Amino acid sequence: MAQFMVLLHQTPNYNVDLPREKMMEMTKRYMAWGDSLRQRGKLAGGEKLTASGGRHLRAKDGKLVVSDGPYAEAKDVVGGFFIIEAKDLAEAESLVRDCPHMSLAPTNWAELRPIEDMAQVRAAAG
Amino acid sequence: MSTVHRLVDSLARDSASRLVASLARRLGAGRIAVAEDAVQHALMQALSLWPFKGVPERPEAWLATVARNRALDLLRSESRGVALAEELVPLAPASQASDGHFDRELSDDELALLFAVCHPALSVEMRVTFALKTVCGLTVPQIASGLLSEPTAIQQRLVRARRQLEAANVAIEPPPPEALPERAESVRTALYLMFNEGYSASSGDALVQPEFCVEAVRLARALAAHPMTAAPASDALAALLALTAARLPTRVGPDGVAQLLEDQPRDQWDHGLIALGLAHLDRSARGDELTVWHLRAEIALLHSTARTAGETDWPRIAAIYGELQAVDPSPVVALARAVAIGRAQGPAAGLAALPDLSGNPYAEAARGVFLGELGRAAEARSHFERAQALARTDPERRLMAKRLSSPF
Repeated sequence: MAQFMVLLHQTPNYNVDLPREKMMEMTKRYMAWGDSLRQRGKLAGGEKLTASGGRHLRAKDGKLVVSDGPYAEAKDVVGGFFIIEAKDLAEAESLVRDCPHMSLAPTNWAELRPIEDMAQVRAAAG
Repeated sequence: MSTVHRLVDSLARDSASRLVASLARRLGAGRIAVAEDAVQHALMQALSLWPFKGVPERPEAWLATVARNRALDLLRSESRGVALAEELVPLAPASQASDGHFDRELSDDELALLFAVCHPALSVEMRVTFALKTVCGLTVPQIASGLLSEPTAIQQRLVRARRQLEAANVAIEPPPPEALPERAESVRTALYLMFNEGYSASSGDALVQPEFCVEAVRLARALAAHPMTAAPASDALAALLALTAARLPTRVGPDGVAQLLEDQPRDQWDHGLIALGLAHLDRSARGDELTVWHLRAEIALLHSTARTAGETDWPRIAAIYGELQAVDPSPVVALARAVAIGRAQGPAAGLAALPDLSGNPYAEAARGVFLGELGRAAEARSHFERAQALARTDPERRLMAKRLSSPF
């Protein structure tokens, strides 16, 4: 079993002004998806990230440069992530296909990334 | 999947209204809006966080904590807020969430809030709007569409209502025993109007707003069940609303045309609600009080229990409307009485009893029916045309169109 990270990309705050009914509808779909994964032991975790109020840290000419970020004006931020379990990328993809995130807004998309399995790497290195 | 749906719905509805009531009672009538905002915030937090983290073990307690903290944050901007912090600490969910709209008991906090928002200092329209928003947790757009109004107008009405409560120094507390009968009657009147707004929507594509009816029945039943407000009149109101709500499924036919009582398929009435209504009616008979609610409930009973439209006891219904007209006269009652007389004694008697209500679509339609039955087709047609022009909802307009297109 391998682990995969699902990064939920979106424009910041696309969902803050939604009426309650719409919000409830969204939540029901997310929770239904999450529950079905959880019940099958396929969901290892997840967190929601705030759309702004963070920091970007970079080194420039050997000096650390810290700035606010992401900005509310950003085009694309990671709004949250899930960690899922699947035997391979194909299964992982099939699990993420049903995630409601992509259908909730045209600018929403999900990035599916295998998490490097250190045990396997070490084994391969012998 | 359906568990998730039920949980989210019951949190948004039952838990939220319980929490608003509980917070508002502690904050005071002037801060009902703070309580609503805080609970709304907590609910939104829950809705956006739980998909990631899963549902906490005690969802309502989670909501209560977040709402309380939010209320404190909102109050910190006020100087008086700090002192309230201590009082707010014991805030905790009162009871378990339930899954039925009709059967949930009203907490003491909610009853206190219902009394506050149905205070006689407020107009009946204000009471209904306020109760729908604060006790039932409906949104402003939902209320606006149900009450034929603009969201901004509803918002303003709510602001005025809150100010009036604050100015009148109304506490969110159950009224003292000596004031209880009058205050309970003011609540019953508001619930009756709330139900009617749902049962005969005053405009729009839909003839009924089932949401309003469901809420009114729920609150009426809770009023009848709560030890403080249990009274024959409360049971009579609950019976009236449940028996009438039983006919909701057939008010509009599958073709979107309003259906007359006599044309409704009675096997599609909600027999569970009829049984509930009968139980409340039984209990309303204790004591010797006979209120307008008893009279109205008996009429609803006669309709609900007639196996066919032809078996309806119209003479008895006409007589009860007569009694109602004597104690609580209104043009609507006079019209209903005339219709009953027409059914009991024939169209000529009905026509003679009709009140002069030109401009009312139902009165025009009733006149059209009686004239048609008397063979005066041309006159009947002109009244149906007027009724069609005056009709307030689309299903009613289409019913009149259907009338006009069929031979008299």
